[in-house]
Amino acid sequence: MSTAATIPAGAGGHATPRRGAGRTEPQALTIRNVRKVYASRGRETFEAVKGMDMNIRPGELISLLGPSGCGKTTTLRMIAGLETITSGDILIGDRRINDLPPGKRNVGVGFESYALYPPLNVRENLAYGLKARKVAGAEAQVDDLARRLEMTELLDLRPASLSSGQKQRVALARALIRQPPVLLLDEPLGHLDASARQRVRRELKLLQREFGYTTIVVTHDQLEALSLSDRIAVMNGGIIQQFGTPDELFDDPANQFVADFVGEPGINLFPGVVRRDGGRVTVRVGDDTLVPAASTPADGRKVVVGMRPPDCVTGVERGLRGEVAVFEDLLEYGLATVVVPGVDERLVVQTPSGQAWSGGDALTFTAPPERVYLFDAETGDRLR
Amino acid sequence: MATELKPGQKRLTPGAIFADIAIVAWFVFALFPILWMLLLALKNDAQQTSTYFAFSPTLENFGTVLSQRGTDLTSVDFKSAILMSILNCGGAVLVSLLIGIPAAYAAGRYRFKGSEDLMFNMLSFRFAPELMVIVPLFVIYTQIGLFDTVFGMIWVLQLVTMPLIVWILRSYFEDMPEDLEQAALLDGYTRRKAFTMVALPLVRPGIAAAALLSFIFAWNNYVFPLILSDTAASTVTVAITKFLGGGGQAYYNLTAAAALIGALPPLVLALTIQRYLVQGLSFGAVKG
Amino acid sequence: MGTLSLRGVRKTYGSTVAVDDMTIDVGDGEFFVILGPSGAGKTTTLKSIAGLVDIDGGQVSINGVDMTGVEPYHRNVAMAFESYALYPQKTVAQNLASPLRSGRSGSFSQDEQQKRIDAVTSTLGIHHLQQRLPRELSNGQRQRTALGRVLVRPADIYLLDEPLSHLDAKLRAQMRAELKQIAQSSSTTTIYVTHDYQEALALGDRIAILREGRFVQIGTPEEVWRTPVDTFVATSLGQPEMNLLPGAVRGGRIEFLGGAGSFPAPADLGLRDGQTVQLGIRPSELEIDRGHRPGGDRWLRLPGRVLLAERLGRQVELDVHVGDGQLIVVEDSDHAAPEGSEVTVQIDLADVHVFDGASTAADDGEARVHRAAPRLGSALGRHSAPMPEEAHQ
Repeated sequence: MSTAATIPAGAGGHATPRRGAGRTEPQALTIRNVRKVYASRGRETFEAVKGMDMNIRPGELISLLGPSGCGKTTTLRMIAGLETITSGDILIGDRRINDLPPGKRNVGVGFESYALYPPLNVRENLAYGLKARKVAGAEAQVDDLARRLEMTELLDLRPASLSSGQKQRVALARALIRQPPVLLLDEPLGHLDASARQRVRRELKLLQREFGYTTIVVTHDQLEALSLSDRIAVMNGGIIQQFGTPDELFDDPANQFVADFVGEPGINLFPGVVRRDGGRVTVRVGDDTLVPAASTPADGRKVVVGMRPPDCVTGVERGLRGEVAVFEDLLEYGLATVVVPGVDERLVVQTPSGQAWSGGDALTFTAPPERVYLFDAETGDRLR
Repeated sequence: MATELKPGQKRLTPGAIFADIAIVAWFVFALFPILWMLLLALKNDAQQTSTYFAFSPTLENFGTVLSQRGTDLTSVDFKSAILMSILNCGGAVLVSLLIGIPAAYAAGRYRFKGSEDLMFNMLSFRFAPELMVIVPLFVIYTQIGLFDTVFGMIWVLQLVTMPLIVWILRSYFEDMPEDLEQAALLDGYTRRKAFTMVALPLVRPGIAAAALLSFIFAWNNYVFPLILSDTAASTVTVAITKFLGGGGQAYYNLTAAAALIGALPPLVLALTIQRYLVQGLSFGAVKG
Repeated sequence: MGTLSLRGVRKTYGSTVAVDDMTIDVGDGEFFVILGPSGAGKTTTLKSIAGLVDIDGGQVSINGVDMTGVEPYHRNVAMAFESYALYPQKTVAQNLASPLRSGRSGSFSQDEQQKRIDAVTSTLGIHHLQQRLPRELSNGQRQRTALGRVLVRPADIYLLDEPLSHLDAKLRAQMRAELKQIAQSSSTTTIYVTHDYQEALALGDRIAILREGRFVQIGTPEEVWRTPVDTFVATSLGQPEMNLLPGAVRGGRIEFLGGAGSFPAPADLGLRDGQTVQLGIRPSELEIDRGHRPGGDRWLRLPGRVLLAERLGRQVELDVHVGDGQLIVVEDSDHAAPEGSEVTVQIDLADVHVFDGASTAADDGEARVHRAAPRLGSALGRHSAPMPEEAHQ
């Protein structure tokens, strides 16, 4: 793999920040009951962020994940100081930064829109801040970082001639090179193609580990959030839906929104009715029965059942019985789109490599009980 | 900025206040001549040069300009001058559109040998001062009998309208996704049909804008009608200046009134097609 | 119903060669996918077939008839554009009616038109949107409308240009399945262009991999996946990309990762001592050794340490430090090793691809693209690379 040449000497798998001279310690970031209300005369007020609390540990990499309009970018801009805070506090370390102008907050900002100096080439742009602070070996640092972000060939170009993907990498490099105690990144990998994205993502994570910046990444890409983050805050409608590790989010979603937003191919969601027989809980779906791990829902309760395609097990006696409508062989695995009588939604079942199905085949599938999720049909809350 | 701002509140800094004052000053400077014209048009003959803001306003001047007295004073019938202007400029724009739209489409869609040179030559007509070509034109016009004819005026005003229309519409056609016409070709339509069915409706706002702009430029043109016409095909711009008198008394109030009347047709036109002017080029046609 | 053949098609824009020496034969009713990165010449290929660009050389034949230089509206092909190219001033129904009204794809009465439009919009789930204008539609709905304008008409060939590219991941997966279902019930020859390898694998009867205007390999999904002709094809298919490890032949063994790994050089590859090679290993075919595989020569085992573990959903991508290099391993999240742990990764030698020339220790993606090394065979030497029949003529 191409990354072979780019392992930093002594870089370990653990977050052990290397702190050289002049480097600032990573800092904790605390968000306390922060709200953001947009109001202007003649328009309805809009509450973009509704009472947000987060404690981010020094050196942690956090993602704010959600659909557009969920308040994630507003949150990032409030931390950066580009947006006023309606109420609540933001602290870096013990210091309240609400009223500091952006330049004095000591946060690094990797926004694509963040302007580069047009007359300077990329190398000069990157070295600019370092030279201003008379950092020794600025050039070498720039070269090293450029190599790791796969942008060496961009160094002699001027900002005007960069593509959007390239600008993004330059913006990322410019934020990283200052080695700020807190780093804010807005969709840092958005415009890169799939293969470059994967490699830059890995480098970003290694750099973050190495230098220990406390980092907040805003993204709408669940895969990016899962793979990059120590913890993820899934946001919707200005509210944090769940704040947890990638494992928690994926394996133990707090509600239907999180289950639906995280994971690809998307989770199957379909209606069911709880049947209670003594202590044993089952779910009736059409004419079939599924066994969830949940133990609390009452008999007869209407629920939404969630079942991820990769969690589906085929070749079983009991489970959901359906008919294959389409089968896609992706060689590493297959995806069968299945119609189950009594269920309006078409369900997607992941099948092991080497199996071939065709339209019309009967398919019976289920999932392990701990991976059959139940959600309240009204509120979408997880039922355990 | 320690204080939190309420919604709708703005920061008042010395810089911002200075900027506001500067903007107001610029507007006063820019709008004053127009205000002065309005006032002048409302003054009677006696007060036209003797007062500033205190006078007894009258609408009489507008009537005078359009009446026989106005014609007697200037030896030009102002009403027919307006008609001539509409005829000349409208005709010029119409002819330019008929030839210019296909030309702009070709220039915007196809690159051929010398296409850039051709376009630049066309634009250079706009750069050249009219006075440069006016003498040979005058000679030619008198020789072949185009002097002081409507046809002659339409012909010469092409110099003003055609480059504008072609240049504006070319960029409209260039910005329009080629995929749309290609889709029409694959739907089974000929190139001509693809142009009329797909491309033309999409540049309607552009055509409106280009037509209006070139109409105004032609309307405001002074040199061509001054030299190449006399009484039969003369236009508003020339007629207005006649009120300043050639040797006789200068009627500043009548000149102002005539200028205001002369500015009306383009203004009315602009207001009528305003909707098209602000409309975007394509809406929802392509991704985004 | 239609066959398509391209013979040595070439198209240049100024000094840039967009498409060169392109030769394919697509059979009647075949679903043929062209896979390539952006700028590889995919759209130019489609437009050359449609007659929307004038080719500089070669021949385009449809149903055995030479169509080179024939106007687009005489070719009887339908195309869905990447930009959708819907007529903005026309409703969905009018957009779909457009090809039926031109009279070139047959003549249809008002009733027949409406019947066809109803059928297609129902299939695509946009029946209720017939009276909407394109600007009132979501991207997904526009995309379906663009597809509808193709499917509504009889044509010899359907040309689909990245029809799913502007959709979000979930909608894309769903539409892919729907497209597959539609394709299976339609008998029209289809050329489908994409940069997404999963679309190619899922939909294509055959896949042509395009690189810088030339076909590198043409084959069934199985063929291009199992026996990629070079490193370009190998890294075009699969995400995360195939690991490429430089190695060399020493004393009859192929050594790599600074000596951390080695196996006997397969005799049928004809490797000589000192020759450099590259080994291609798919991340999904590597696994953590949990003692669940039998011993023996068949399994290549490599000791290493987990540098990064990145969750990808049900799977985890492990960045494993082995010898002097790194291996990307994809494991089920239930079996994944934590960061910092010492592990042994293993792979069936039959799944190890051997490519020529490890000299290009490619540091960046661009460089690797320019120097694709040909495949020599697999580490067990069983199946060697078949020469691509149509490409490189």
